[in-house]
Amino acid sequence: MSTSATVQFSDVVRAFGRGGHTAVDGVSLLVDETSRVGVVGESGSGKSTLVRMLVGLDHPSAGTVEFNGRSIAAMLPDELRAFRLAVQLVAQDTTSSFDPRRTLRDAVRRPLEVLRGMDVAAADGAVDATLRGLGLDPQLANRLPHQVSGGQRQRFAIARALVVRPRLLVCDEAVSALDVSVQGAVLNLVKRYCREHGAGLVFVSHGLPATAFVADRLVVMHRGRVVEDGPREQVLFRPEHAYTRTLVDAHRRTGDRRGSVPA
Amino acid sequence: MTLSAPELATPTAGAPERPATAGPGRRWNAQAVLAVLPAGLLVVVAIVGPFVVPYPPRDVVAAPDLPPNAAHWFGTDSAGLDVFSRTVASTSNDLLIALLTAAVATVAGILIGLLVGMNEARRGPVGFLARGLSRTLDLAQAVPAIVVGLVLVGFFGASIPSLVAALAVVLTPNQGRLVRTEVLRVRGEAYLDAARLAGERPFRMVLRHVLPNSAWPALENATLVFGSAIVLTAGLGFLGVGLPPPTPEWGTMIAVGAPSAAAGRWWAALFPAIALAVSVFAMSALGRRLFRDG
Repeated sequence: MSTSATVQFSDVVRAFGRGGHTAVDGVSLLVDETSRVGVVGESGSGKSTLVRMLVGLDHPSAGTVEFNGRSIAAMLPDELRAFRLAVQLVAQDTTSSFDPRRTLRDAVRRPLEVLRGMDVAAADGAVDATLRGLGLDPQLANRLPHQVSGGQRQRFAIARALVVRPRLLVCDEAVSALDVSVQGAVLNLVKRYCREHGAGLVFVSHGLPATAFVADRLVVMHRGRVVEDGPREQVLFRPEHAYTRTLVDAHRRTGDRRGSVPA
Repeated sequence: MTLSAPELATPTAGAPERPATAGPGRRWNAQAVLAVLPAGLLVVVAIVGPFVVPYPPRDVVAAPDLPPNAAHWFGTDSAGLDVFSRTVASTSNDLLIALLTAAVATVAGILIGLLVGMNEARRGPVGFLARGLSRTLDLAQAVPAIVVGLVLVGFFGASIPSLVAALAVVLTPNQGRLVRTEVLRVRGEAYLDAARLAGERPFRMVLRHVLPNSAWPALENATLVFGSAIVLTAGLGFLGVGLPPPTPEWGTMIAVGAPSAAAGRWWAALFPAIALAVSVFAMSALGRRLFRDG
């Protein structure tokens, strides 16, 4: 696991429709396996669009998103496979991110079968090891997604992302739908994986406390633009942009008691 | 990585809640038996009936227009054919046509729905063709089915294969539209993004995720297609373009018996009409049991 995983955004614009809404507007950003980046901003600020481009599910209207110097949009199948092995996503909505007709085991095993070319038996072994590492009973994996709780489903979503041992883990509002105690456990899982495997983290959320808990660098988005990008303490305690100050103040007034994250 | 998070929720106990679209898992009771029994009997009659009828269904066996009696339970028609033997023997023809039509229309509808739903948002010629096909499905819905059936059977001639082909052309668009709508819904689901992230190729993704999650409404609707095919077959027979006499078929029997019914000799048309109604009811009851009440 010594290969690097660098994703570089260069003046990226993502607009939808002819003359339509611009979700991401001129963003330049670099993240790699050493990054612990938190991306914050209100709903509609372009965070999820940024994430979709970061993991190669969407491509820019202008500018480039490159993985290790190669444009993701222009990748050949083998390059795309290497990219998928290196960069994985824990999605926002775990209810709809699992096929309701397939078992959780099938969902977690599939990246190993497709990306690593493992047979079912070997992949099942790796799946069980990953699930145990996340504190999940492997027997639960034989259930359908609706047959486990939201917290368990979230951990299966993390297992699906971690099972290929990515170098860069992207979490898009991964804990927003969970209650605070479950949030803490999930955030700890994510932090520990990154620490133990030397993986980078891009944690996207509209919740500042959770983001600040896992990230040492904060990127603030507002109306599709990055308005602030710096070390966590600087952004939280010496914000330069007016929107960042508003965001931090709002969380100080309302969010800390309600949404504080256990260490 | 050895982690534990005991504060996370424990496994759910007891019987899990099933999704609204889930298939099996229903209980059998008297109501279920009542729903399945008529269709089962119909199938038995279709298979065994032609071999156990009292008279050859294509032959003149008695004087014309005999009312129901001990020798001819449903009487005879205006040509002296036994109405009971013909009503029973028709079951296999009508059910065969309906079964084949439902199968062809459902398979074709699923394929067309997948093709259109997966491609109509694309740019370029493929997207253009998919959008054209989608509008064609809409247009086909606006043309009365019986008219299309009449034209096609008139063109290709009346036989079981041509009737199946004509009815499938008529009934496929609705199946295709149902699947297309579901494909458009499934395309927005996050599990397709997850499949892409797992490295799944587009064709495998359609087979593993899109097809199973979007074909269900068409399969549900197949029993209604079955019923519609029976009614349309009878309708074409009534209009004179169904299977030619003396081939036993309910629609043709109703057409032959209609003038007699107007003259008070009701039996030649009534019994095949009752058989037609019972078979449509039986299949829709079966469909309801299989797909909706479960």
